[in-house]
Amino acid sequence: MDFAANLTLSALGQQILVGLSRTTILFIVASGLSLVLGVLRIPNLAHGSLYMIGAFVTYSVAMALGGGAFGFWLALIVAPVLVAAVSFAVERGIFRHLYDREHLMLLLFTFSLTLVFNDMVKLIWGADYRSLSPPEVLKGFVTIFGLPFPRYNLFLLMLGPVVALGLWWLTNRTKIGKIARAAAVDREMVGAVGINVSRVFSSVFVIGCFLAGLGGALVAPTQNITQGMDHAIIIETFLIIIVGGLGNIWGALLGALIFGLTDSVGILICPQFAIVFPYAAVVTVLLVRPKGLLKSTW
Amino acid sequence: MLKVEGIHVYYGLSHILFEVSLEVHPGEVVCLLGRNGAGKSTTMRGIMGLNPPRQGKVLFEDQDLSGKKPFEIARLGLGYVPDDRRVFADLTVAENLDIVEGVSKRKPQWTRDRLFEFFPPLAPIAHRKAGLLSGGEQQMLTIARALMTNPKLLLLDEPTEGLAPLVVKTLEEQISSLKEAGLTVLLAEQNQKMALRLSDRAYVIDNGSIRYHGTIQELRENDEVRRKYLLV
Amino acid sequence: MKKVVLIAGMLALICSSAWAKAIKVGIVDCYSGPASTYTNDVRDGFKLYVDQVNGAGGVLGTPIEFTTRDSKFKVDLGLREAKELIMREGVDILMGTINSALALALADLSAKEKIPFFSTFSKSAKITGEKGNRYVFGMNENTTMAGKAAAVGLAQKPYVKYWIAGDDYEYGHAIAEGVWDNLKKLKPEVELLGQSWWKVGEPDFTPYITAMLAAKPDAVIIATGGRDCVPFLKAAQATGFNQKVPFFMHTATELSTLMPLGQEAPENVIGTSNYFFYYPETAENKSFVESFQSAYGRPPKVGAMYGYVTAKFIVEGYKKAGKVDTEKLIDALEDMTVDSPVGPLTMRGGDHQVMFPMFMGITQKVPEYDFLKASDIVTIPGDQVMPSMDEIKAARGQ
Repeated sequence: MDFAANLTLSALGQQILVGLSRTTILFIVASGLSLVLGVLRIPNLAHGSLYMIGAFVTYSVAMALGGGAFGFWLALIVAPVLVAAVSFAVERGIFRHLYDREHLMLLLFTFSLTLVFNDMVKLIWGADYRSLSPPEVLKGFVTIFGLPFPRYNLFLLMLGPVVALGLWWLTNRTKIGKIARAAAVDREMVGAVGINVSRVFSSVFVIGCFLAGLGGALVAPTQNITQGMDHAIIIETFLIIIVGGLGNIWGALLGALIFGLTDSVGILICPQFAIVFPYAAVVTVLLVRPKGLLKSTW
Repeated sequence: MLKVEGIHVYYGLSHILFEVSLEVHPGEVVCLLGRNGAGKSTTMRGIMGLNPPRQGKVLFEDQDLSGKKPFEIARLGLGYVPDDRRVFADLTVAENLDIVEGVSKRKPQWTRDRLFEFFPPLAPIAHRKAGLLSGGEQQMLTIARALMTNPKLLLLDEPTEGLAPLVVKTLEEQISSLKEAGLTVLLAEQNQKMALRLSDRAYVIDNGSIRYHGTIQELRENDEVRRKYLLV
Repeated sequence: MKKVVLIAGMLALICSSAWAKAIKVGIVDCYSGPASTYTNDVRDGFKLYVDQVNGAGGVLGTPIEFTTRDSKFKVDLGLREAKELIMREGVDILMGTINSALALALADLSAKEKIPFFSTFSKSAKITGEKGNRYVFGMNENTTMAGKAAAVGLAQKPYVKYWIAGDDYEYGHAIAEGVWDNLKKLKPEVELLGQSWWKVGEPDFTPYITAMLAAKPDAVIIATGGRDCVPFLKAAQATGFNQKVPFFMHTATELSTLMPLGQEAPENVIGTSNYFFYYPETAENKSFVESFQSAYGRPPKVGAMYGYVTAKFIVEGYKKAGKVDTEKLIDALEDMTVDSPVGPLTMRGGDHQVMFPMFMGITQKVPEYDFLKASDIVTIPGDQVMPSMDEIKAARGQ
């Protein structure tokens, strides 16, 4: 193993910041899945597909408007909303009738959705990968700790706490958030006090899927928009929420932090085997706390 | 107000209730007495639509509740207070009440403030997480939460279970006040004495069937029934 | 009446036998997915020359026909198609493929069936190296050649401290080794500070880029395969990597890599490439570019050159052999030289590898195109990039 001779404090600081910027996207996607899993008890494998669709739609919208800044910002709103609309249709049409089914059935059903979505994407956008550039204001880099740090990652870094705050406000300060938290633990009783649980589920599902689409939209300028995106993210996302505690949004944040930071710091410390680090971290956590770090709603 | 007509309720393949019928008239407190496992809770759940009867009918204010979801039944005016309390543990006392606000379209009789007046111990702990409350506090909260829906009829399932005698006494007073406030109550209880004091009429259930029905006076005088179905 | 029938019959016989005497080439390649941009070029370049030859009466009076089969990047499917082409279609020559694993399988098949196989685009050095045989011909550069050429070019630059990063699979490591081993031989004072390897199809290079920069190398060798070249260059541009440290990537100066990026491609990237449509400005190259452009409506990229050169070798080979005979073709091809858009090309007899010159250049924006061009082009002659015959013999266990 080749340990880097460049392990200076500034390099470490830089990598931590890069890791945190990746955490933002991981957290957004994982929190969406956590909501759906915690409240509706649906292990939605198609969550990754919605993320991928979010990225492709962002590309198309941005390109349709000339590929400039305006197009990108508009796409950032349009893509998650579109994904939310698609998920609403799927929920009303299909999921709604499956809430009382066994988890295995739901899992298999969402798996079939991933196949459908994957083919749909291939049909609409073709098999080639797409490439999107960030808007001018977020291109290039700034110098942090004497090293170049991409502007777009700085944007993601700052966005992270905003999203976390927003989610906290949603779950703790809004009525729908509180009902969702109650329904996560006792959906029967929520119905018995006169609340239409089905409608609550629908809203939570749409919000969760919106987050998946938002994650995809935000990641679009940083990487290739390809067919394999759904598989890659869904594995990472499930690992994150398992590590954090199923159904716990703050667990998702913790898991995303662990994943993002071990990945980027690992790349600095041991770049030949960097791929292994986040998974090694997950395994370690689960050995010590098999139920996840924070309280799960399951 | 409430007419249960010959309902059969199953848990999966297990046949639990056999031809259970009872009636509750407006303004009454009717108690459903029986030993542990006699079928009291199942009857309550059957009425509330949580375990819908496979046969028979439940009529509330002449409306057939067959096929209705629990939330619809709650909105029609039935308030459910389960025997295991089931407060929303992660929410505070105040939040437990707030999320139910606005559920019923009826004129709000019960507001949060009025409930805090009615159940004074809840007021100082309004911002405590419901999961951290004592048994008695949780019981008050569950009743208060059901009242937030402005029910016409309250289904109280074994409210005194597991509570200290002093708390039970307070509860009895509170239920009595509710009756005076005009609420109709169906009370399932193992604790005979309290039930008999509060109620107008009684049904006795054993092994899933109604074995006896009569006024409180009649039941008090019927040693045989009490010995056969109610003594532990 | 009888005379008419007789003449008609004889004409039919002559025509059918003439048709039966066409030289058949079977191309097995991946025509689905992103690889198709490259493989379409190879086919079109091949077709361009074949059409010219057929228009002038064919080779030794016989036309050349070719058919393509899609391997969909699957080795078993490609192998099946190739076998079918040999058994049922009776092809004289097999050609293909961008997939190195399939190319190696076809190399084995060609030896068994004694059908010449012209390997186009796959860059594994094993094709004419350890897995090479009498029936296999390498019609493009391989990782050893690219590595050696890059080393020659980099040795002339002032960089001493290097970092190596790339795709963690066979091709990535092969290219990196090829460059580094040869660079060390030519310039012993070079130092390897460290290496990073990411998975093929890595979506986010940012943490790797920041980590590399932290090591403060003089230059970086990026060993990415076809899939990741464009995404890495994009990330380099977005993060300003190319402005902070010079880096080398094989094929970074190729049109196939630079065209998709347009004006977003990073400048000052050192790249090696086998072909540019704008260099060298020889008559042969110009006419090739013109015919290709007018036939297909796009400028030729390196794949087109491979296809064109393959066709030329086959045609000249048969001409020299004097008849449509496999063994005579192979003998004729050994050490044969043909003219090409990149100058005279020789097919080395010992290993059947065409000795392509390599062009090393730096990406630059130019006003006349909306993609970047290679500038400051240095030509490394074909014979300087080839592995020695001793090395080949050793690899083949001879």
